[in-house]
Amino acid sequence: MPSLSPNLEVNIAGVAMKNPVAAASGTCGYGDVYAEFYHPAELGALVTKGISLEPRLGNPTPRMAETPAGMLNSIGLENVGLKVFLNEKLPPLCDSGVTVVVNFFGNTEDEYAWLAETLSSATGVAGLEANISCPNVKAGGIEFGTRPEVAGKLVERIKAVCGKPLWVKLSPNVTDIAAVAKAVEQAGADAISAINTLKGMAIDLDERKPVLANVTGGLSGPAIKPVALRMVYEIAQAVKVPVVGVGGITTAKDALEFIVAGASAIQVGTASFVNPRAPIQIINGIKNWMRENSLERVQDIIGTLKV
Amino acid sequence: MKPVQAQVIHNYTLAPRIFRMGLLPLEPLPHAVAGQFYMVRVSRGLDPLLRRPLSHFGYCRAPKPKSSRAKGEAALEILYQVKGRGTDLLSRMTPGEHTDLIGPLGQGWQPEPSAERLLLLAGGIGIVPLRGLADQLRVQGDKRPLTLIWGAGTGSEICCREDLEALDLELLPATEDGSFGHPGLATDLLEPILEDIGKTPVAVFACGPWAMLKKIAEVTSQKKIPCQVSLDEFMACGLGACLSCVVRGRARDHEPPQNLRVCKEGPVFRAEEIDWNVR
Repeated sequence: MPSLSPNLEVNIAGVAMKNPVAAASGTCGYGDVYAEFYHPAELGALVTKGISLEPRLGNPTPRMAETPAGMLNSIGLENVGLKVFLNEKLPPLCDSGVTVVVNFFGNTEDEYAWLAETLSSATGVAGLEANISCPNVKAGGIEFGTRPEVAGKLVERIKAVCGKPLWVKLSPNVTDIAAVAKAVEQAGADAISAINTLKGMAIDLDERKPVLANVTGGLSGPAIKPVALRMVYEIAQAVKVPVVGVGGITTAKDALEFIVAGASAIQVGTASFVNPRAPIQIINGIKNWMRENSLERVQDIIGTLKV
Repeated sequence: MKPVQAQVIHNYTLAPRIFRMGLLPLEPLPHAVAGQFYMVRVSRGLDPLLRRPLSHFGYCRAPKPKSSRAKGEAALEILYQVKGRGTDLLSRMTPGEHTDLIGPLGQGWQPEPSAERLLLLAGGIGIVPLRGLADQLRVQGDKRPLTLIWGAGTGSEICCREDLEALDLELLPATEDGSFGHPGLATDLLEPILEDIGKTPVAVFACGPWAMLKKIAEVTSQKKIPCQVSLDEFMACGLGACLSCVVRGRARDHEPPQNLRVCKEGPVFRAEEIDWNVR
């Protein structure tokens, strides 16, 4: 007998999620932007905009360009900074009842460590996601995420002071993502989120100028889904810690493909820009697919790809 | 709030590359305040991916159905310029087709009750939220004199004149090629008309290119005339999430500068809220 209400619960290294669908960092603010479209607590988790020690205004505009089935952004990690986040943004987010994962990044190992220590001791935070991969700002992460030994050393440092489960979000702009994944796992990462945006570029031919003021930006949206899916598969083969799949997921079918490929949970990002209710429709779609296939627990599907 | 399906009731060209589209929402939408906008899908598939932000132009009636209803249902209108793939696809939609939209979004124009005359300045397609404003004022029974200075490249772009005439406003066109009205920029006419208006309390509403708005902000600031501007920036979401469309806010005393989201804190701002030098 197929269950009328399939069990969608997953647990990502100590972060309990009522369903495997999270809102991705940088696409849902601090949980305050889609309040008119759904209640945040409907999500499995919400990953906040990346937090830095000091507030950041980000890059000059234009800092977004549409590309075939996707978009480039060079927002430049604009955020309110640690102090305002803790005082003004985090309390209402926690009150909403959603499982909160705080994304963060630093300019130095010291900054990463300080942020990890402070954020992980804040009330209501279920887990942290370290951004070691944002391709936009020279000092904002690219140096840490692209070489396995540098990434490992940073994660070791963060892990020593981090009192909550630590997800590490990887850059796809590397030759061997499985090698980076293994290095951060060895350094103590509790889970791996993959992937961040792919470095890309758009040109205005008439002007012979880059479209983005920052020249290059990060590609996201359906265009990157096959790349993300391949990388999630490779990472899941290489490590034992849970993998959180992210990259171009727009439908429940996309989400289930990532889960089958080895993701224990997924994140929805750019799709929310087009359809703010996309995460909720994906949750419902997963439920329906499980009913149709007489499956009771989403956990039983993870990594069941037949190769 | 949610994306709502809407049926195209008309979509025709008014001037080269400028189209007027009527959309009948299949579910009720909140009433728009002039200056607000909609995020409109231009394709059913994943490419082009993003919605297009399009300003509220006004309301109209859908054609009367053949059944017994007395009048057609309330539909909304947008006016847009074909600039790229998205607006090109939009221009090819035909009556009866469906799209979906989110809105109305953002902050619209403020009423300026203490002004006795209202001066509207449009640059090119910047006419859209200003026609929306003039229409709203007249629908609300506001009888204050309205002057619209509309600058464009050439005369054929000064379109929908009948609509504007029906709003009982004074139209002062300006064209860069001199083919219609004042030869030159809309902003050339601003200071002379303010001189003309003299001491009568006036408020300025403007929408157009950045350089135009910056100039208007300078003039009105010097003369201490209240001025609102409607800004246009690339947007991915239109909902305050993506942070693509930010402009720099003017720093207040001892406060660090802040970005303002055109989609959320705008698109209409008080001119003095904006740091016009950061671009």
